[in-house]
Amino acid sequence: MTLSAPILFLLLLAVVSPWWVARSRMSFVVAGGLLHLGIAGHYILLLSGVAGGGGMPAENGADFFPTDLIEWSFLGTAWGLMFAALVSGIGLLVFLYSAGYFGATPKGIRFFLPLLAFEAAMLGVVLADHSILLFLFWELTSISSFFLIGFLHSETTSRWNAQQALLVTGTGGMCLLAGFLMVGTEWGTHSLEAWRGMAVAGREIPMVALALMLAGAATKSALFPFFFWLPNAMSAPTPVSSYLHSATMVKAGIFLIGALFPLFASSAGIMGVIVGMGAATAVTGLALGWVQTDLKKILAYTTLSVLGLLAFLLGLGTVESVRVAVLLLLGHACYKAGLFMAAGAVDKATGTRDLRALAGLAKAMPALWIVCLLLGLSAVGFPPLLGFLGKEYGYGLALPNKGLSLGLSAFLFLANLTMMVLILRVAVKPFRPDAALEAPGVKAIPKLMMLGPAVLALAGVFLGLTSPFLLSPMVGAVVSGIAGDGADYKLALWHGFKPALYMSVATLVGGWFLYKVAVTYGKQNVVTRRLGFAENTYTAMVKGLMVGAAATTGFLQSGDLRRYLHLFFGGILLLVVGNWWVSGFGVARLFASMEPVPLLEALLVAAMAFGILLVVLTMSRITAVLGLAIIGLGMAFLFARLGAPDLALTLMLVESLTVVLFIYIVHGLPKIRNITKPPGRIFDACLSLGVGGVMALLAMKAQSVQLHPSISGTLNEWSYTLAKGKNVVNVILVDFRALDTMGEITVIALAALGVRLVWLRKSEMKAKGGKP
Amino acid sequence: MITVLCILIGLIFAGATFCLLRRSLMRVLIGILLLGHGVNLLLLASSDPISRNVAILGEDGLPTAAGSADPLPQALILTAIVIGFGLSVFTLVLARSAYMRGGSDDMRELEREEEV
Repeated sequence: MTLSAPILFLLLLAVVSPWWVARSRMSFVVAGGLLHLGIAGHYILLLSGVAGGGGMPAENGADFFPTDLIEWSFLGTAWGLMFAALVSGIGLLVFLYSAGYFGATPKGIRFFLPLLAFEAAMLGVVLADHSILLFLFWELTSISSFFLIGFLHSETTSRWNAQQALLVTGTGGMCLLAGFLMVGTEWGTHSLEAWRGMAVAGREIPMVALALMLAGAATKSALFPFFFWLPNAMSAPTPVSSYLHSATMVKAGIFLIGALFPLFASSAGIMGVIVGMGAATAVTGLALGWVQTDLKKILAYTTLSVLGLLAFLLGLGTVESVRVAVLLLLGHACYKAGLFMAAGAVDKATGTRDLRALAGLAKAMPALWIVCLLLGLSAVGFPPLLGFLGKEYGYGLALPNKGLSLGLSAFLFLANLTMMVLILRVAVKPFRPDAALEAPGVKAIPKLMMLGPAVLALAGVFLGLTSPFLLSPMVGAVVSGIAGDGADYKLALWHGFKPALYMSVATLVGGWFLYKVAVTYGKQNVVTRRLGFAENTYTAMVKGLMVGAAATTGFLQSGDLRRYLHLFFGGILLLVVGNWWVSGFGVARLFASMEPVPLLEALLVAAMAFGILLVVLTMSRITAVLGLAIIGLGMAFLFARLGAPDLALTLMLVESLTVVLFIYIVHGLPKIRNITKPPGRIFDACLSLGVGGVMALLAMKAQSVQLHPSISGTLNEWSYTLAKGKNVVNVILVDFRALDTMGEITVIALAALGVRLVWLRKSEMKAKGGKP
Repeated sequence: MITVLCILIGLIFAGATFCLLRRSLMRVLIGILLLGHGVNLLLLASSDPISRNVAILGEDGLPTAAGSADPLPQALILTAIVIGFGLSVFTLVLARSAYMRGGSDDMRELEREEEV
């Protein structure tokens, strides 16, 4: 239970949270905080164990689910445990931040349920070893994210954005499940660890499955062209953006690429696609972020570009690039979550997140200013902070081809430069005095809201400084877990006077200069407008779905009896004939054993056929009654001839009554008319003949089919011995199936009652003088 | 005989389907009545064996030597005939009532009436 116990604890806490918070907020915050602290410490200990060369903790509860398809099995890989530590560690800070953010408002009562459920699900995603179990948790993150994005549910945009995120990531989730099932069926196991081993051993993977799993990862991590849902998800409250949409959930896709790295790496094409998507996402995020004015939006777009870079680096597939990705991910998780929380604090204090209205806050909020500066410096890669490592090692990357290496460096340089401008806008611009802007009024913010950013800022400093000792073994274990090598690599802050150092310096200087010069926010340009196509496509698809659904419903549920019957009979024809066509139904065989028909019966059948023709074609009501009478009497005679005198007698009686009633009722009805136009009638005639033909063939076919032995022999035997009756049909009706017959009598009684009631109303209406 | 019976079933179903598909209320009523006959015949056709001898036991309470008709479908048909009768009478009265209220014998008009 070492791995899954925290998940269960968190789920339990999530379920009781609404009542607990409503009862006693303080005790809930303390208990939840302590639980988080314990969980984070637990995972960090496990991680350090794995990093120190110990075995991976595993857990397998095969009997947890009553099915073979899914298993409650977990495995603590270094990569997964690193995520678990991040999720629970930042989870602790976000938990406390949320408590401060919502205070004692009613919103705070219902907020913790989806937040904690999300946290549990995210831990499940990164620790599950069974692919279907992973998928379950994966979907739970999507669903809890839906509730969190749409948390301010009274706003239309909020709901739309929540739905968008759910549809995009949910569709990806379905793809992921399909991919998992394909690989699982093909390879005979659903264990991810076994998959990695098999992929490393060179077992072939279905390309479609890889593409499907990549689609799942790409939608979750908002990679190009699915990026649009992430910035829109900023309609969530700030703690959510900070937690789900920067530090954890959106990295689930990156996690998956890392967790299934050997599978993806087996196909150069898929790796190429990952690199392409990653690069496109990075560029898109920066291009769109360039013109934003909302603090949270800017952060969202930089997150997007970092996600792109992570995918890009993993896609490159070398040990060095994976190491850079891991370092970048660590740094980003710390500084971005902190910056989001800081942006939320600024919002709370000043009431605005608009860059154009914020300046000179340093005097009023000195503590936040220092924290933001530290976070920002880590983000732009200032040594010796944590963010510096990722950037420096990125510049140190080399590809086999010299030209490509140069291109890679140039790409990373430009990306870092742009990102630095965006980060400075968030971390520095609101605090520095601006000649043209007056500092906005500031409200005091809850202390708990300061804790998160401050801790993360200090973590950036601490982890950066101690990275050679503390982080080295962990990063080594993670990298070797993914790429299979590089476990012994020692991180260092100082690499000597090398090109990477010059580029770092150039980035810092150039970025600062560009930040001063380029005041581009708030101005849309060609690029940003063009990039709207992805979201427009989504919108068009959703609208198309609605229109299509309405059209289908309108077509199927028209309220027109003819339409229903057309669909019904047409459907039967299609299904039955289609089935016969496929299974090869021999019609000719059915007519092989035709026996001679006595003249009397032949005449009877001919008369009935005539009767049918009569009722179908006649325009006269009396002729129709005559036709019905012929058919009814024909039926009665047929029964009499075929050894069923009881039926003949009953039918005779019933037919006489029906015909009399029919004449009485027809008396009050108008003449028969042909309302449908001739083409419609011809179509109906063809359809009817088809239905008739199928029924005739079915009846014939039924002769040769006997699914169960007939019970008629038994009934014959029992009739006299048990019920002392010689007329077997009567015995069946009044003895063997007496309850059935009672039901039949009830139906008749109800019908009589119904007729009486309808009739009564009619005469009442007449008494009142015609129509109502 | 069975083949002829099956062809007759087909004819009745074809006629019933065609009548049901009409917009004239009268024809739809005829279609419903026809459909009942078709189903009854279908039940009879499932007899095993189809025989001309009645399903009545001999004096000694044992099946006669000549063999008798299958009693089970007959019992089912008997039930069906009676229920069918109740159903058709109710339908007829209902149709008349609908016509009186709706003032039209066109099925589509009647449906529109209902929506209003």
